[in-house]
Amino acid sequence: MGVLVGNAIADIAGLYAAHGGWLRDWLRRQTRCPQRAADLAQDTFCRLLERRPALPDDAKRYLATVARRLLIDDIRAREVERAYLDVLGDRYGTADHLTPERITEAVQLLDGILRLLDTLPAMTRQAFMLRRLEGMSHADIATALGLSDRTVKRYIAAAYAHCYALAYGEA
Amino acid sequence: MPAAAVPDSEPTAEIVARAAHWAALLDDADVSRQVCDACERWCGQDPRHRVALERMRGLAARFDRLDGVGREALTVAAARRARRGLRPAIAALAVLFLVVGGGWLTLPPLLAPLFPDHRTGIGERRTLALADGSELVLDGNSAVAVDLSSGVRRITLFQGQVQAVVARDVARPFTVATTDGTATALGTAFIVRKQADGTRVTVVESHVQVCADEQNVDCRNLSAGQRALITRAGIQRLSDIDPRAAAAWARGWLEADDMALTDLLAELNRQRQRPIRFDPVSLAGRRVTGSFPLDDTERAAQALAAATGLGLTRTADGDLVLSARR
Repeated sequence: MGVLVGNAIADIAGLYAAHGGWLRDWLRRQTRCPQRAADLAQDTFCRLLERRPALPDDAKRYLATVARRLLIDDIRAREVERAYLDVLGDRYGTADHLTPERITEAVQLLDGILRLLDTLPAMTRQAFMLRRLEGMSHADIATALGLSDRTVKRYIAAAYAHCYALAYGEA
Repeated sequence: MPAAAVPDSEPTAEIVARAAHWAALLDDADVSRQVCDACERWCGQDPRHRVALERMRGLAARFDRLDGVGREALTVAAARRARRGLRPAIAALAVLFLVVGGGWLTLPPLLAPLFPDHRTGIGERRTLALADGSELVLDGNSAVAVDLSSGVRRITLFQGQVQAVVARDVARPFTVATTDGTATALGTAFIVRKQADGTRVTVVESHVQVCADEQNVDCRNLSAGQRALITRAGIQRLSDIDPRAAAAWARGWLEADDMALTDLLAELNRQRQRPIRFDPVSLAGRRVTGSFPLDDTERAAQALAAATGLGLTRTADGDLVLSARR
């Protein structure tokens, strides 16, 4: 790790001293789990140390914003993990044959894809998922959704453009 | 296929929109030769065109990396979320985040500069009918990119094994390329396998030219039943093989003719999520002859145990173990 600018560390340390306890309490109320709350609070400060942002005047509110983001990430990842383990259970009765690393890797991949899908408008997402996950042809998707072929193509193009903007920024 | 060179300037909004249109056209189940050629021409006009399109295809390829469980899990997770709706508090926060700082929503960088068009999971074999009439059989855990744009027929094998049954077209040589070298044919059937130590080429029918470099300087001609290993050091001939047996995996069979037992077990394990366990030292030197089903490796293991007189047991946590102890 590189040498941190002294001021930034001091700021973050000050933030921790002033609001660390408050943040853990807030997260405990949100998660109803002390362990998760402690982990998330720690992650929040780690984020700040990694990125060393210029702290705004209202530092407490800023802290809460960062913590909320991490909390949402955490909730989503848990949902995806639950779905993954459920499907594994249905198919094989157990997930015991997979190493934890492999499950984590799969969940991260799924989580990334799901985030991407979540940001698409409903019809675009539906068309894109039928193509990508079910392997349906555009003509079959058009029939299934009651659309014209041309409209399906337009949705698929919109999905590509949207994903591109998300991954590489607006051109 | 080399990774696209990143052009000096990023694709413009107009290029991205146009690339999305092409990506949608190429996205369909069947894409005509005309569309492929037209798209290739568009890509050739400006390096930014190709970069934009390849990035989009790469994003779609994230889905192709999913196995059956992953696909189903994604469908389940998306359906649950849609059914329940985003919890209002979370939905409101999500909106806030998009406004506050989209940077946090940015996807992780794409790992591979090369995006496979087709990928198989462990134990999955797939036959692809190509637009030129050729056929590709992808072995398990394999990934290829297919380029049939005008003038070339080029398959890039990133990992795993592929059998090409090539439709004759003298004007367009058919090449399977790996990072080690190429195998080129005009009308024939051959197998290319990317291994850790190089690329193995086996000719099933007719002739194939293998080259260890793109300039086609270090090349050898192989005929049916001949094999070669392409490495950084060049091309090395391997012992000849019965071509019918070599191609059997594409039909779902492993044909062993006096094959080392440990090699055979390694082949079976390539098809399995949970490997058959064995001690390579105590099984060294044993050889096997017979046909074993790749689609049912449990049955293959039983047949193997019967043929060799070894014991096949199952551990408490469900692993199969092949050992000399009965």
